[in-house]
Amino acid sequence: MSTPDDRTVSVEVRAARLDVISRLADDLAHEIKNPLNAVVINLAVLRTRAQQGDGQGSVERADVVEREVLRAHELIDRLLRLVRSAVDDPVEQRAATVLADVVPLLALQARLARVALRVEEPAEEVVLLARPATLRAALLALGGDAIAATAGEGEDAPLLLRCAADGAAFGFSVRAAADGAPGDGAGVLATAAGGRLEARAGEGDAAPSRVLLVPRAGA
Amino acid sequence: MAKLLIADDERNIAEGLQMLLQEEGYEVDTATDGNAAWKLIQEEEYGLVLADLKMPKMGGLAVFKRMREAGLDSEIIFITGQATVDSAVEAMRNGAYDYLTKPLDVDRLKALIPRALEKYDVKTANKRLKQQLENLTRYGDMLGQSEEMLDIFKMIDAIAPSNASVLIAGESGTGKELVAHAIHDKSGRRKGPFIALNCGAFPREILENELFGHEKGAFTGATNEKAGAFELADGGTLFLDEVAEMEPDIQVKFLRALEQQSFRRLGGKKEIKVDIRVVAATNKDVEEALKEGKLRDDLYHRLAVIPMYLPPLRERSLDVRILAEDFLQRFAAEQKKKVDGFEESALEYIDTYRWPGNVRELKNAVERAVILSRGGAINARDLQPRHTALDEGEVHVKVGTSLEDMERKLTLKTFAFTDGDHAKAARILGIKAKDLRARLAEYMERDA
Repeated sequence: MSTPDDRTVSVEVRAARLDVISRLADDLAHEIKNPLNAVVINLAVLRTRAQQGDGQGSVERADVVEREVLRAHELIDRLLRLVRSAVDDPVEQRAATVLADVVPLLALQARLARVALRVEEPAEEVVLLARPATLRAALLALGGDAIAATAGEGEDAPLLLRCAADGAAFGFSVRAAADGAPGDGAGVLATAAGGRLEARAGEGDAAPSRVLLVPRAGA
Repeated sequence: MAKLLIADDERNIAEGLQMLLQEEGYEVDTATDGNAAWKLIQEEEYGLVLADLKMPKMGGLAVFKRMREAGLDSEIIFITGQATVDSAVEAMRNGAYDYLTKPLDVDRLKALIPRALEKYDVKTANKRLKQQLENLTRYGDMLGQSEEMLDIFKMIDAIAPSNASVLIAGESGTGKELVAHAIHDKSGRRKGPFIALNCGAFPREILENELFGHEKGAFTGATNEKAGAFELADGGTLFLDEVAEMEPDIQVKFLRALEQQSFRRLGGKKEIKVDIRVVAATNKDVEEALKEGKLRDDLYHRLAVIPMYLPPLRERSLDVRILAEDFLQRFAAEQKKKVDGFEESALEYIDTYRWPGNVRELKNAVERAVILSRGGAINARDLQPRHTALDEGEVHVKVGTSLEDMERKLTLKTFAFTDGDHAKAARILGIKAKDLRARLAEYMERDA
């Protein structure tokens, strides 16, 4: 049975997750039009090829249509996986797997915001211990804030997502969002996932950063 | 036909569109980011760019802004997933041809492309005309790049320094007075007066008075002395238009004054010495005027020391468009109106109409069209005289058209004129309906 404090946290976490999902849904609704557009155009070409009796050309276009349909499906699936994650107990998971789930969605957001996102992957295999869905939502919130802030700096402004060991923990670090600070959605989700969010001052001319620290399994 | 460029970072979209539009007969290039698109645009001439608003390195709007800054006229249709009012308004405000949302309505796109290309063609045709104008050496107030006019300009250069009389023959409206003025301006008399007198505009007595002036009391109502054109032109040039309209007895007096460079005012006794050069003009056939006795032989030989012939506008096909464009710019500036050049229909009309009133008629037609213009480009109807409605039953055929093309034009126009009534059209053309059908089928097949 949950205590009133647990319920409060749960409401905050749910609100933060919904915020992440809503932002993603908005971007996905835009991005989904690309595969749909490719399907419509290539179906028109396929129709012409078929009428001309061009078997090879028809097959090639059919392959393109199939790939684009799968791409549309994958985009929707990624969002649905975030929405549907009801059971979210802490489990061990590879950092690379977390990144594989999150980076395509961040890349999509970066592309729409005209931000040049670069991801520095961990040098070695790292296993994390965290609530998987909440951790992914925390990373999306952290990255989404940074992308939104970077977008204001002009076309193709660079943004680095650095993933590396940070003491006993593992850190996902981005430039601090101008309008974000620990304790907002990303912070709430980071804590709920089993980690924490830290703000760090930049050295020299470097911009301040925000680091999502996640415990390493067995650490 | 101008080429198309598809700029979209989605390779399957760019390639698919390329294939689709190549099937429609267009030559199509693709670019998968804004920088690549801009590089191609600088290297090739594209009539239309289909650009995604959001692309890596440079968005569609930024590409478009660069195109316009570089003075490139290619039309652009933006394609985007976000059908927001803001982006649509911004794209259209920047002069985009249209704005399409994903997923594309392929039929709508196919319908838009020829219209956008036509707009580009008209724009470039008008621009080419402007460039031709800029590259052209103006000759006084005259303009022309036809061989005939270049010869006239050369001739003016050659004859201007002398004092020899000039007789300019040419239809009304060909610019005879402009030539006379140019001769004066290029001569050593340029600082002296240029006096023009239209001999056809006055009755006999008044013309004599206008030419030679009168002394006080020379005739009833002559309360003051008055200098005539001869006197006023002293030290300069006297231009006499429609000289063949002068009565024979005045021609005699005129010839005497011309030969002696002196004359007497009406009612005067004193011989007045003048130093004038005469440039005369006639819109009559000189040979015929001589044969009919309208122009005296001796006067003709005195005037036509240097004969010149100004060709009618219909014989100066190279000049018609640039003159029209020059008038358009001039009157648009005068009227403070923004006019986007001529539509294709107007250019066709300018090329094919006979312009019986020559440059003057063209000038008036363009001035009227500019005054009545409500913005946009001038079309054929704007140029046509108000008293003659567009004759749908008329076919303009330019010299240089083959008989085959002329027959095709006439057949199609007759068919359209009868609203597609095969029997009626065949009857007008004097052929069998069966033959008409066969010809129409042949034209369609050839056009396809």
